[in-house]
Amino acid sequence: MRLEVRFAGFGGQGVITAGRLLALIIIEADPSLYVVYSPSYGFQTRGGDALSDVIISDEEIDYPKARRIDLAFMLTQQAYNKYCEFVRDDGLIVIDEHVNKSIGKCGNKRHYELSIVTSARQIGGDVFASTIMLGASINYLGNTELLKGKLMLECAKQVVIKYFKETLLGRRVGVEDLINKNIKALEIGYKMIKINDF
Amino acid sequence: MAGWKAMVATSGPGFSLMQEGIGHAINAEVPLLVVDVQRGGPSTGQPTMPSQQDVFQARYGSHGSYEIIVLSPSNVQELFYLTIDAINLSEQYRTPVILLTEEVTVHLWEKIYIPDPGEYPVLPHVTPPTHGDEGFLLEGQLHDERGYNVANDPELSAKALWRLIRKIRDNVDRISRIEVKYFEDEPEVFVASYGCSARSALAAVKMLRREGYRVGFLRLITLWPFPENAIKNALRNASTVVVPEMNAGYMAREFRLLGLNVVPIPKLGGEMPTPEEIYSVVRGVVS
Repeated sequence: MRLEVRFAGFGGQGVITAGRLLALIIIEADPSLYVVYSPSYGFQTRGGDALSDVIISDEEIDYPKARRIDLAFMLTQQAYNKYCEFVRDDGLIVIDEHVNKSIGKCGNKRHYELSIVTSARQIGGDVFASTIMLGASINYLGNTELLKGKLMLECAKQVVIKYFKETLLGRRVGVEDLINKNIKALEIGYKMIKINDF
Repeated sequence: MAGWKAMVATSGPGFSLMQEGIGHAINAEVPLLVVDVQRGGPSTGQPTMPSQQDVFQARYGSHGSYEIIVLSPSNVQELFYLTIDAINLSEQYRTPVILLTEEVTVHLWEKIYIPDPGEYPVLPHVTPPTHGDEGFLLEGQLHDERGYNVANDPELSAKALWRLIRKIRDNVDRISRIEVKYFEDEPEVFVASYGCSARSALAAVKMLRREGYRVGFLRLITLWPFPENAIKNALRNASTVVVPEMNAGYMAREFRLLGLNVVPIPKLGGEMPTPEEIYSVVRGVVS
């Protein structure tokens, strides 16, 4: 069984970080599963299309990119228009509230509109969209057949803290604050998904 | 050369700049690992996108007659082991070895196993012997086994160059490796690929076999020297080979030289061939 997750948006919104963290969390949650994180982005550090895929399977993973997506986060109109057709009919498209779904060709698919970018800005900037999406994704994925009961918010927090401690090693100030904000974003994202809606 | 194992890594344009040094390392018999993470070219063409456009540059990029070893990993675990294998081969054959990979594979995160020291074979670095009181001679001109310049002597030059060529050419079967799957039912059609494209190829073969089509899978782990005998043996009952790759159809030509009916899938643009693309091409040739 293969689960495909895609985080797509603009460079600087943290779609790469969200994918990396999700892969790390799933590897921690169930070491017997195969997990691949696969990014794709343009040559700009900020701006430009960026996405990351996380493939989760109980069998060895051959093709490492998402093509029949179970869960997609689309933060921009561009990402939505480009990738919504790759979401399975029984998959879920999570769009930011700024994205207009009537423009696309995926009207018959399941959509879920969340205030991701606005919430991220309230926390401190667009980049916190990453951990908001991450929180939402682990709540949703924790209720799928493959990952049922395996994804705990508390374990996810530990992975996030460890990741930022390691990647922000060179920074002298503000590390604690950044980690706290990311944990807050993770919790907000987790609560954004109401499992009873599905 | 004198005491340390050496490796250097680059992507695309940097590999062009290194060709002179690679030629020198071949001639001076310097063990060296060169990693080229292929991006779309020519020049800085698609700097963040994967390609397999350097497969011939890796083989023929430096001037002069030479043979070279080029390895192509398909996943992160293999990237780890082939890096060690490449350094071992460079020590064993005293030659540069190229680890030719793609943007996709090196940016993937996958769970890997890291062996304990001593668990996986690692050859020691050998410093070349010196003769008498002389130091080891090292230069870009042709030399004999002792390092003495023979460039002015046609006979000795030929002998020296043949020695460099033969140390690889006479050991193709020892150096070169392929992976073959789904050959038990003697399929007439194989999908052959390498690097990240082989992952798409394997996914396509699995799709085809689920639908009952007899299709085999072959993956080049060593691109150069081209594993001719191993391929011939694996494909002895096959007539057609489909070769997906992320360039204008280069390795497909090598398969054609083996007398096989070759259907290339040359994919440019910076995206891996999808399993569906390969599937539909194979459906057109398989019965």
